[in-house]
Amino acid sequence: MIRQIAVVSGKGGTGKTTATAAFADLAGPAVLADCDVEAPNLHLVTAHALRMETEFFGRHVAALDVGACRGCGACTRACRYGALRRRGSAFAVDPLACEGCGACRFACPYDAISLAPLRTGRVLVSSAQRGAFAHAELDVGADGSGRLVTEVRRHALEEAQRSGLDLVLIDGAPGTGCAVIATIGGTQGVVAVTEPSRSGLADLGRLLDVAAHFHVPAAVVVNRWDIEPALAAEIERESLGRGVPVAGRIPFDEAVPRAIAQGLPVTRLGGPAAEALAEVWAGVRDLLLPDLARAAGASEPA
Amino acid sequence: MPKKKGLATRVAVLSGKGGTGKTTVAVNLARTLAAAGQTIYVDYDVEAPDGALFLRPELAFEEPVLSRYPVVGDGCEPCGLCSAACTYHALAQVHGRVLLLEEFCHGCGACVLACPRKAIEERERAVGMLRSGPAGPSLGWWEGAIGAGETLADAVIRGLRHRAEGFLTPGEGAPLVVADCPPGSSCEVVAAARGSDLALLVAEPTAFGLHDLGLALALVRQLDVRAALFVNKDDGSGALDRYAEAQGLPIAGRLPFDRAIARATAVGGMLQEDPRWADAFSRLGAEVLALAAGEVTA
Repeated sequence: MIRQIAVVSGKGGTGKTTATAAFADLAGPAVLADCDVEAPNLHLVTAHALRMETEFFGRHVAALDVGACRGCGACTRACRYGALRRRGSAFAVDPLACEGCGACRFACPYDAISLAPLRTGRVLVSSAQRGAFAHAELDVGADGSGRLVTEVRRHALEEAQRSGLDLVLIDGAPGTGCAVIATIGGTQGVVAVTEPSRSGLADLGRLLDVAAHFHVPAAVVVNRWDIEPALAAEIERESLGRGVPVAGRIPFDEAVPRAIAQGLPVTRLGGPAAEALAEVWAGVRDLLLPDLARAAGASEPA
Repeated sequence: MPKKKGLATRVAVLSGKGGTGKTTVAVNLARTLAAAGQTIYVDYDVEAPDGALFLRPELAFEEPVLSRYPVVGDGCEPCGLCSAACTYHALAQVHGRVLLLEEFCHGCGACVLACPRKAIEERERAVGMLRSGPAGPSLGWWEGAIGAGETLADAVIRGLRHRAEGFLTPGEGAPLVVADCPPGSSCEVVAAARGSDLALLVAEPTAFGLHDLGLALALVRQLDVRAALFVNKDDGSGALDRYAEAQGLPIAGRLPFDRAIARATAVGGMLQEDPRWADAFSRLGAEVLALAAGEVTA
């Protein structure tokens, strides 16, 4: 069975990618997936060689056959996005306003409208040290990041099956919307990375609501906990209070930006954050991957 | 996008990367500008709206953002045409019945038009909430918040923009709008940032920060909005300054990397009220107004 673990956070900039890169370094053989397709960063701290690149057509756009259009305007009444406008005796599609729903096709009595696939980004598959690495780039300003996330996860799972690896580590997007829902669905669990701030607490609450809504187990990690220890403790209490376990806390450590600058997981530099991340990963395994934790425990000397 | 004459001055605060300090800059900028004239802070980060934690506004107005969804009636003879019509895969055919996967539905109405028996009606559901209220003298606050498990962030953003900014009266004394945008580089950022007079890009000088600043700048240039940089968590390395110089990007303001700032913002503190940082924000306010007006600054 292939297990998938997603590292997510309601608030951005809490250290998702730093944690994912450290977990990848600690976990042994695993497939990596960067599902933060709007601002992907995992490739900056993961040694990799690009192996495959495909264009992704993540949505549609209406295409109007001007020769067939009689200018009746039925399409404009069907369109809820104001994407069809009169141009001379016929109509034209505003591709920026068009959502690609295709409602206009059914309204047009002359079959003048069809849907054409629209490119929204690129999917990349690379080789990293411990296994394949699936990532992507959403085209700037494009719609449908959720579908691109799903495509990255599909590639990651295929690579895991092909290479016989049983773990996929996913770096997620911030927030609680479409991209996050596409990232966490069907995973064994999510690691929710937060920071000791009022925003961190509020956004963690929203994220845990979403995880609970989709019945995905979660474990909380407080990063840079020593910036505001009282709030770190409050976040941990609130998480436990709603039945979500705490996998650990990570101290503020100058080695983290240094590792990013060198393009390495912080675990390669050592230091307080690296040590804490090793404990956090053990906690994540215990909480979200108990069978893997047991197997690891059995192979370690007593 | 050219600005319509006479409308309010609009400053979008954005960043590709999350957690660089968009909200910190936006709330402190908004309160600074409010000292000089009517200002509205609008929180478009609908998946993580945190501006209220700092501005502590009074909640005066609340309204749901509605999206339509189909309800299949008795006239249905399961032909499958509605499922085939739905480009969002929100209608499944299960044992001769039509099943709606609500979180995939965009409320476009294609299924209603595709049904040959006119068996589909529509109802409305809330996909998010809009809220507003006063946040101090001459400062208004608006936010949009997406519902848990909902995916239609762009619908919430469009609804918020219409409600918070659609009725602003043009001309002299028109308020200044500070739009706190979502992170990333998708159509949601476009919906929040398009048509602004200035895009203030908040970045931090890490390799992650520089990479994602590039994406945000590409988006802003696609929208044809004037851009300026705010250097946050400045470590003195000069990495962002060199990038700004190479890109011809003016630097509108900066804050140093400082644990005292991290602590103050962690508990919802306002930096512009603190004598240590008040000057940085009054300079930023002046710089932003000059840049938004298209005046060249040193």
